[in-house]
Amino acid sequence: MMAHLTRDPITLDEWHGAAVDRWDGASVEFLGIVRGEESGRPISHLDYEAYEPMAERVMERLVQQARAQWPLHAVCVRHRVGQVAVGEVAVLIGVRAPHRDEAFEACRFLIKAIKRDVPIWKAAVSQDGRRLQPTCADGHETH
Amino acid sequence: MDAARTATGIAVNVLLFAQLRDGFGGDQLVASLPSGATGAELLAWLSQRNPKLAGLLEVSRLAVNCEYVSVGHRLEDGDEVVVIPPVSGG
Repeated sequence: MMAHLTRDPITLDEWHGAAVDRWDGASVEFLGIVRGEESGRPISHLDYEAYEPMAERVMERLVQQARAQWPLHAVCVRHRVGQVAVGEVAVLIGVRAPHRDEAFEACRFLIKAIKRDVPIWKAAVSQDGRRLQPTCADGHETH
Repeated sequence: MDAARTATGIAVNVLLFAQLRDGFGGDQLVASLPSGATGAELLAWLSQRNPKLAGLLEVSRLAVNCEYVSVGHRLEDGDEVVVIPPVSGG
């Protein structure tokens, strides 16, 4: 299982169906879900765009880094692109490892690194279809 | 669009995303730079064309061939350079 972008809804079937290794003792998954508001304003969906060839390459490299650091077996990373409605899963990260500490740590490493390094951008769209001004990492609106 | 070789410098294809694309009003442009120009010079060239975006360009990263490069990276004629404003995935 590798790291992929997808235009389709993310389901857990593939991840949950991955064969369990006999050494697996912990399975941790993180789901990033689209919240119904952005900076206090209600939204209808997020619009994600990616520089796709680089985004997948960077995600796969981060999975390799996680594998080098922790004894992981199955690893699954999926990130949506395009319109993702409130309540839908925008990102899925799943890891299995012999013990819970390494599984939690690897999962946390992956979501933090993905948010920092993968060329994916989101724009919030309000319920009346307006694109809300993107905000910088520090929360201030750009002009 | 192909970057044309010039006698006095290099031309690089610049790909723009997110707020930078919106700010420049297009997802691609060609930058003409002196031979041996670095990523920092490309960013300065872009800021000069659109001073309103200088702040955003200052916090953007560059990638060549799908790999991040430092602002000291020397650009080659015909390179495809992607300017990556702060990402917001997840």
